Amino acid sequence: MKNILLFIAIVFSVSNAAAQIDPLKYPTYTDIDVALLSKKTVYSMSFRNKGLYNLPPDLVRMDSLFFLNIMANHLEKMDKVIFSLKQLEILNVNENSIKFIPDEIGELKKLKTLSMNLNNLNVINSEISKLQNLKIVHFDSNNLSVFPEALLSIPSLEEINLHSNQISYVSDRLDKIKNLKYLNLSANQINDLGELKLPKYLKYLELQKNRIVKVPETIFQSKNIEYLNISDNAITQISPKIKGLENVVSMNLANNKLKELPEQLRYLKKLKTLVLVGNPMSKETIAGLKILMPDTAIYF
Amino acid sequence: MKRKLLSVAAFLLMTNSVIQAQTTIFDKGSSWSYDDKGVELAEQWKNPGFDVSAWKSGNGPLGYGDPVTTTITKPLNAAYFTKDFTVNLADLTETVELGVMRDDGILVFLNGVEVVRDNMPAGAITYATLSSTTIDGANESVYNVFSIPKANFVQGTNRISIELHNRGAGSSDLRMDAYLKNAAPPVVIPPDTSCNDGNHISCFTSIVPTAQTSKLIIPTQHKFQLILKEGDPYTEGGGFVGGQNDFTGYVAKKVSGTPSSTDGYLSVNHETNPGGVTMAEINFNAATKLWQLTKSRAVDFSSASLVQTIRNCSGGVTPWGTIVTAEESVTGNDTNGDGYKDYGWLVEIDPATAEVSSKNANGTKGKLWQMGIMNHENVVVNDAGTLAYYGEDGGTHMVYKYAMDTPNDLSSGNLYVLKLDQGLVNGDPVGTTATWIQVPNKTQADQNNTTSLAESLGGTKFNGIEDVEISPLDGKVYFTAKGLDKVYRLKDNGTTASEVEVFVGGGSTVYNLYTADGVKSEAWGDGNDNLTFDELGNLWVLQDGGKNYIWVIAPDHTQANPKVKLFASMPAGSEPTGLTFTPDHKFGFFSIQHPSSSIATDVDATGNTIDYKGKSATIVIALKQNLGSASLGTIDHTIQNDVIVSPNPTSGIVNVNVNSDNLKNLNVTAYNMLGQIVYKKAFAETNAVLELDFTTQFQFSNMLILNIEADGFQKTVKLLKK
Repeated sequence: MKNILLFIAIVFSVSNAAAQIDPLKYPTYTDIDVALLSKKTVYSMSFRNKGLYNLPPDLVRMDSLFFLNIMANHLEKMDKVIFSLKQLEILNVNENSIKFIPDEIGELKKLKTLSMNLNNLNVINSEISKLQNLKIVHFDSNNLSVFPEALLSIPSLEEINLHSNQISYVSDRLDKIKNLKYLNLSANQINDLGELKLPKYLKYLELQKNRIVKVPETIFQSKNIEYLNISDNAITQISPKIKGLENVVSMNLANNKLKELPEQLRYLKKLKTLVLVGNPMSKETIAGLKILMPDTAIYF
Repeated sequence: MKRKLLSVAAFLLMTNSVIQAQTTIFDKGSSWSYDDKGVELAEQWKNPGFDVSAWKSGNGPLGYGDPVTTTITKPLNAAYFTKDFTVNLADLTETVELGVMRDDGILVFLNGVEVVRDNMPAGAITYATLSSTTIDGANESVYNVFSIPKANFVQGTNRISIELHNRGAGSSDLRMDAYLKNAAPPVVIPPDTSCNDGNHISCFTSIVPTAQTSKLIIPTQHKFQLILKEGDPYTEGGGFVGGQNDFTGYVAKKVSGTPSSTDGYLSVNHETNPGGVTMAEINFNAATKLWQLTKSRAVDFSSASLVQTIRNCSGGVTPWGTIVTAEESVTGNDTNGDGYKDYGWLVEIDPATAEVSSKNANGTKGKLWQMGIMNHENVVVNDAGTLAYYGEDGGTHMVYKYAMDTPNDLSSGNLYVLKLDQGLVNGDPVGTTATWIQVPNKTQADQNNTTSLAESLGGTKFNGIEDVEISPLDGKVYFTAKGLDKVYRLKDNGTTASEVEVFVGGGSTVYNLYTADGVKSEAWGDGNDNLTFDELGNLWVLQDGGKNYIWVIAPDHTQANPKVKLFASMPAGSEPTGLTFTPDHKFGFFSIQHPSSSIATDVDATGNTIDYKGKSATIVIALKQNLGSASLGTIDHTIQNDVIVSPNPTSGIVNVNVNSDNLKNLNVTAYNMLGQIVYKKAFAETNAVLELDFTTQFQFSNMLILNIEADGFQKTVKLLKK
């Protein structure tokens, strides 16, 4: 059964890889006039860093576009023309001044990647939950104060990046995002994670640069986590249940208030890297950990 | 107007002999009268007698949308400011320094006469006229420095009037502030001994500082040739050249075992998403003295083990003849399920095959995983092929070193991050020592999380490491931090580093430049980005931001004794990227990234009109004798030969014989051996013979340097006392 699952996963991944944009097959046009004159179908356009305050209205004629990059302009809103592009799979709106996502976002049913870093978003429109093909969302460096509830209704998501927001509350039902592998909640205002339930296949979890005092024991039930970063928090102790992270390879606990660690760390047989710098640990404690985990490189 | 560059001897020169106290006439934050009604004013508004008593007033900075002391009405296409001030002419230096923070364009009038036009188009200006380019980011806060001749001032009350123009009424900000003070004491620029024979690519006279114009500006000693541009069809494999041309690496083909400077590959990164790299083959035709592109194709990143590349920013050429392209964006996804995040790596390319050369353990094509994932900008490899240095633009903003397990093999090695022992304060190293801290890089989990590990381990955060290079003279490691507007250097001692210091820069640092129009001052500004050394140790600094110049810094430059020249100004909207040289350093290749669609056509060394409006372009530069026909764009040597100064040596009175009717706007300037201007005169009408009297000047000097300039003409004469 395990092998079948693996096989399915590989087939799935290869089909995705084929869908990546090959610049030769899908040249990216950067000038709307050139694109309009093209005799070939235009699939990809980039208006990056063009100093735009609005998108060219003729973009509506590019109805085969599956890739659109409009990052690093002066856009304060998402022009309606974007939502006429029903074939869009990848949309990059980074580095603008977008304040809200219109309801029409729900019309981009084929969207797989939505990247809106470095904008002025306060909330994520719940209409986004209609995008059931979405795999990747980036909302880094906005002004979000809560984990966007709408994302809990998109089980297809594999990657969520919300670092550098103002998030203080995270839903404890993250496990609803069944396919999630990468979650980055670093540099927010989280001090209490409650009884956070993580998705089963989560691989990388980044919670650094928050105000977390206690790591919920539920996190340690995540058997598939390979990389855990909870550095730069205010954590005073780690539960012995950490032994549940049986696949963790690299763990960063730097810059916390840890004086010691549970001896159950010795059960983490795959752990190769443990970063402990910036904790109030004695040299004797570190020496003891090195004896306890001879196959782990400890950075202190 | 074309002016031939000054010859080496003229670099002795400089400025007046009277050093005034540096007095401030009015300072930043001073009070201004202003009109913000959003209408065209009468032509006379700028004149001293114009009644502004009904205007509002407030202290600078004035404007809206950015931090200001006085908020004015918005939105506006233009706003008008005036200020009266009093001077005693006897207290003024020969030129007076005007500093203006402007977002976006300005015209400055002194007593009704236009003295500065910056970031504004030529011709008549109305309320509706928009600035030439958008000023944004840190550039909005820079005080741009201009020189106003003393002759424009009057004894007593003067009026300065500034009209400030927006890039568009829809723009969210508009802001102005200014100061006026006596110019800094003159700096005597020593002779540039590296350029005695004038045959090195670094031998040039600085261009005149300028806001970006509609054309590329390079010194008149040089020419350029367009090699390729965005949208050109590839000669092989279909598709066309991508946009956002970035790292531009010349890789010499070997002819009889020797790297060729006339036959090579030209690799051009495309900082796009999706990304790409163009691999061209070019050679130099000795007969036409022009480069020819013989092949172009896209580098193949289509292998499933690579998942393409994105934002191929800068990169490097390895000593073993490969290209390394740097992905500037990181994404967390693992599309092909190989355990590695898809993007944010260095990738090695064989230019001969235009395919990725680095291999995974299973033999498939791979990225350079052990070098770590980050917002990679570039990489430089030492000549021994044992060490690589690189930096992150964004993310950690740190400097990294990679020690290869096997020379000339980037696939495995140990990774280190630079930690300044005493950190940075205001962008300046507190101490001069540093430590290289090892960063774990042997497991996928670590390779996929390089930056957070480096950060936890205490690496020093600069701001926007855009490039790292190694000096060919002393092996020191130089790197730029774009956000700090500085270039740093250090000596790498293995596990530690020493002699850490700022080499050049500082956004508000003003350098004096000897230009064809005399001595000019220019602020370093922000945005120092790509770096390249030539073999003489000159550091070429390409600027993304500020005024998007290419600067050249002499190897013996220090901040206390600056040796800075200005090589190029990019066309409006663009930045220079990715300069590399041929092995003989006769030719330099770089790209002009994202020029605006409003730039002008130009004529390159082929003599043909070229049009790269709105399209990133890749060009080659060289001294004009090395590129293209001698008659193209050169100064008419016949005219030069027809200007004779005699007698020489002289007791004082000399005749300047002008055997041409083509010279217009003739200027003669004489300098003494201290570089001080001792004589200056302009001749609107050129007679066949000009009689000049230097009797007084020769009372204090045994030799003078005469600089004779006219439109499209320049000649330097060493005049000896009999």
